Amino acid sequence: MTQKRILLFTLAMLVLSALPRVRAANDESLHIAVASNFIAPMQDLQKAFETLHNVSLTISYASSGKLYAQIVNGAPYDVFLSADQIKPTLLTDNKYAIHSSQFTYAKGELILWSGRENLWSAGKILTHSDQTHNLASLFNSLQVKRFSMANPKFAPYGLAAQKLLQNTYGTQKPPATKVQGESISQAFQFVASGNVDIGFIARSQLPDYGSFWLLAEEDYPAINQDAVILSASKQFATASTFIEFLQSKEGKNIIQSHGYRTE
Amino acid sequence: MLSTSDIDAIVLTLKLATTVTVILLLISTPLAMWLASTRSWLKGPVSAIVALPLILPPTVLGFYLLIAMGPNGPLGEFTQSIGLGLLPFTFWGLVIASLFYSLPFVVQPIQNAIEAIGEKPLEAASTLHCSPADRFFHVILPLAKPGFITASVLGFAHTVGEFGIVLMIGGNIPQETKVVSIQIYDYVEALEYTGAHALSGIMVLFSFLVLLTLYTFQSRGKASKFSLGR
Repeated sequence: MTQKRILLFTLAMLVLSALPRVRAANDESLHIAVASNFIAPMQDLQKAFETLHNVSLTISYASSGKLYAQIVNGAPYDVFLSADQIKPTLLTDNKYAIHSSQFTYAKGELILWSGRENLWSAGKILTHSDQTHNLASLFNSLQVKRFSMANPKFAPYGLAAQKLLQNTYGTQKPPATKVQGESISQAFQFVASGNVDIGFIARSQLPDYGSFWLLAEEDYPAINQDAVILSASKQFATASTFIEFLQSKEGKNIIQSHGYRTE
Repeated sequence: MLSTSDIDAIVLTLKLATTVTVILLLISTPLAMWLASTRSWLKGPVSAIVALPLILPPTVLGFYLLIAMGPNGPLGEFTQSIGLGLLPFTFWGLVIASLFYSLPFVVQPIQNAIEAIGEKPLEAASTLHCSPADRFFHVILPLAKPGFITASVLGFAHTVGEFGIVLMIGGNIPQETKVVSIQIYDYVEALEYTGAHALSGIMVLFSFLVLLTLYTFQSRGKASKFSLGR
């Protein structure tokens, strides 16, 4: 008896899943692949865009590397918002994306953050050329034992942090243990859970507690996040409307309000 | 074909899996013996806790372990108070996490094997004035041997295949916490698919050979088939 019931249940589920999905009232829809570091601004952008235009957005969040692999293997996305410039460029080079559509929608800002309040010179800008307020003096003053950063091999924020460390310490190892997260959000998580003293995070992640230090823009390579329309998209016109929205004043305002710069 | 960091990752993975398997056999044997013989009401809850890692996503385990082993977590407070410091991002942190993660894969085959022996041989041994230690080494161990072998192989292989937890509490430190699965993930994220292929191929081959050995071995012995989540 139970076996029969399980069989019936499975069959019912199969039939249900095969039914055509009920579409929203508006006919037009775009499928957008978004780097997971951009979740919060994207949610606001989605609301604003859907009110402005009669288009519903389906959004898939994952790391840029995973989204890239999905696109190359035929994922049905119309627009790709990467967390870097490399992947969109590779996609346009290999004809997976439309060259003319590529542009920088956001510029990331690298900062240092600790969960503890009112630490040494909190809120200051650290720069290489300043004798007192630089990375080495911060690490010394706080007696940092462990710090976290994103993986420089593929995360732009990780690469930026690595360049900063190289400028400060040259080929020597920094006087603290480096803990690498697979993404900038993991680098953040390691500090937030108290497991490391301080971390290189994105300004867009900055919470309203703890201490943070800004890093001079000229001390690390720019963190440009690029977007492209994919060649496989059948909705170039709608996709273009979305791209234009990102570059509009309203779009830029939303992006800036989340701690990014725009061009 | 393999880079030095690949070799480092493989060596670290094997070291981790060996350490975890040895410790797990020591923990799981008494636990499995108790579970196989007890009539206590605790049997249900304990069995459920042991089996939890089978159905929990590794990210859940990893997330809670990160918090528990952190400076404000109970494990973290304990390790700090005895002077060990904090465990996340260290080899021993991974060992502790893997102990939880692979526990059911070691406990359950041993428990099955011991239950299959039944009470009769043990009662017979007792009437012949066997001490509990004698019963364990001369009755339980030989009769439940296939269960112990299955447990060791599965515990080892499952630890080798660990990913989500290490991602959460590893911190990607070469020769300390950067295991093979993390190395593969890094290759894929960096779009270095050649490197990813080499290591992934080795993992597939390794896993197949492990299971092949296990099933070939089991089809010869009768006791303790590979069964999980009973």
